[in-house]
Amino acid sequence: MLAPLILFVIQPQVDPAQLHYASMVAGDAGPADRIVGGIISYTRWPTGRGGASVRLCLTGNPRLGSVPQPVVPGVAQPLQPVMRRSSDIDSSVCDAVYIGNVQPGERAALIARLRGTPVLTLTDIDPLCNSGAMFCLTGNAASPRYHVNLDAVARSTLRIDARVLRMAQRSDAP
Amino acid sequence: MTRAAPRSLHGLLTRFHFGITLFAVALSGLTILFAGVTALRGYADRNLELVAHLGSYALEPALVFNDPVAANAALEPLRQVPGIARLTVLDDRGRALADWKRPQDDPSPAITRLFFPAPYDVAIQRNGSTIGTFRVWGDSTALAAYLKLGLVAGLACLAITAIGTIAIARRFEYELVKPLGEIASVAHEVRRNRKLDRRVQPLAIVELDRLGRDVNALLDELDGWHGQMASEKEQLAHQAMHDGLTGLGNREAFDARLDQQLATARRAGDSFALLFIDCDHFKQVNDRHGHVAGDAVLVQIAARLRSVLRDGDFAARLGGDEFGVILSLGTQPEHGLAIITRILNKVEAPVEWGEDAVLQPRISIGRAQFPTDGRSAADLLAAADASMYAHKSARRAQGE
Repeated sequence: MLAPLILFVIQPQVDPAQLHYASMVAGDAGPADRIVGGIISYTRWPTGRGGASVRLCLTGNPRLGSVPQPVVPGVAQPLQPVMRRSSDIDSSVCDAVYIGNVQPGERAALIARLRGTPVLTLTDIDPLCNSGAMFCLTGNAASPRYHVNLDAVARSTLRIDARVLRMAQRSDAP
Repeated sequence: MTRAAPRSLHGLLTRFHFGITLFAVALSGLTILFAGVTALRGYADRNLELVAHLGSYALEPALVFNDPVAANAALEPLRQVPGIARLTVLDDRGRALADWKRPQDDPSPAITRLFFPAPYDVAIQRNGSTIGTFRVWGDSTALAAYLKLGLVAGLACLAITAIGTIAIARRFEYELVKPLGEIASVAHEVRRNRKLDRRVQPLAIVELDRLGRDVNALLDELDGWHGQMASEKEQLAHQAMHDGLTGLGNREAFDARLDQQLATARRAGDSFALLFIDCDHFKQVNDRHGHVAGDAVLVQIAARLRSVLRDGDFAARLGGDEFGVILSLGTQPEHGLAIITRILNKVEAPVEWGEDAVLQPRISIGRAQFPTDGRSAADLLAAADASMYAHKSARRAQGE
């Protein structure tokens, strides 16, 4: 009695997303976009944000090529980041911040300001991942990897799926 | 038509028990094996499902991040699970992100083909969209081990069955064959050795005990018949050698005794004498007083003869009113003459008949001495006969 009803409700939601995810992967979604999208996908905001409603901000130029357009499973379109100055970024306007090539002092100030707020911080200019950002993309655009700063993750109010933390490169590994 | 060779009861019971137990063991063994295989098959399927779902949880981020290293790391703990032949992770385009095959060969591909013909697929989803497939192939490791164990256990059961059957058959032999053997041995003993006093002991099994008691009853009857027959035979033998009226030996007994005594006397060089006794005027007694009186006279003569004779002497009624006496070995002529005198004195005493009649037996006696009067039975008989007639004529000339 209940099962067909649930199927009926779920079915129309699933189909388009699946199609889009497949088409996006088939297209030129970069490996970095998949990583960023995956991290966003496995993050839970205390504010209830998630998926398509995540507001992604970008500050500085991304080291790994073009503007990130994270592909989040279950979200039809890639997320489109909004360029902001670092001084404008806080939890009221951003749920996730991609920190590109900015001055180290500016970056430290931004991270310090966002500490304790429900904002996911990612950077691609910190190979040792000790700047205080939660996730650090390393490697090149063709084969990026990511590191996790467990201390930063622990201090934030976000909840990250343990599987993502486990899959991360260890900070002390090359 | 040929008859099969008879089998022993023991062998029959052994075969019977072995057959029954074999049937029971085979039936229960097959049932257990079938139930076990079915249950194990179910467990193996659950196992595959469990592995697939476990794997899909761990593989989900690896597929999201498109990370083969992470996918292989997620497969790592699943490789230890027994009964898994191959693990494949496919992304949403059907390309293999990770693929692992068990390095060991499948122990029995036939069982694998039979029980795990297709892999178990589970779709991996993230936020409602399918991002890949986890494919798990089962193999026959666990089932083959179970079947092997089942086979070994079955063989062990068969061995135990054989031992148990032998034990039960032995028990049966003790309980059943032994009492039967007891009955058979009694029957055999009776038939072979004529031991009619042998009896079957009371037996523990009711039916066999009844059989034993019937056999005993038959033996009792047989024993009775046997005794009866023996006494009849004895009686017949007595009748064959004795005269019915007087109780003395008959002609046959006389001839046999004479032959025997002749042989003994010849061997020992001993001597003995032969007497012929004939009643005079016996026909007149019969005519005057009847045959009953004649018979009475004969009986009286016989009794008197017997009283005169010594141990070792032998008297017989040779027929009609004739008697013959063989005097014992060592009898010399003078002894024989003395005995003749005594016989005449004794036998010729009057015989009372009825109220007033008195019968007077008169006898003539002839004598022949071995070896002087003859060395063969015929010579002796002829000599005795001649002597008797001489005596008769002499008395006739004397008396009348």
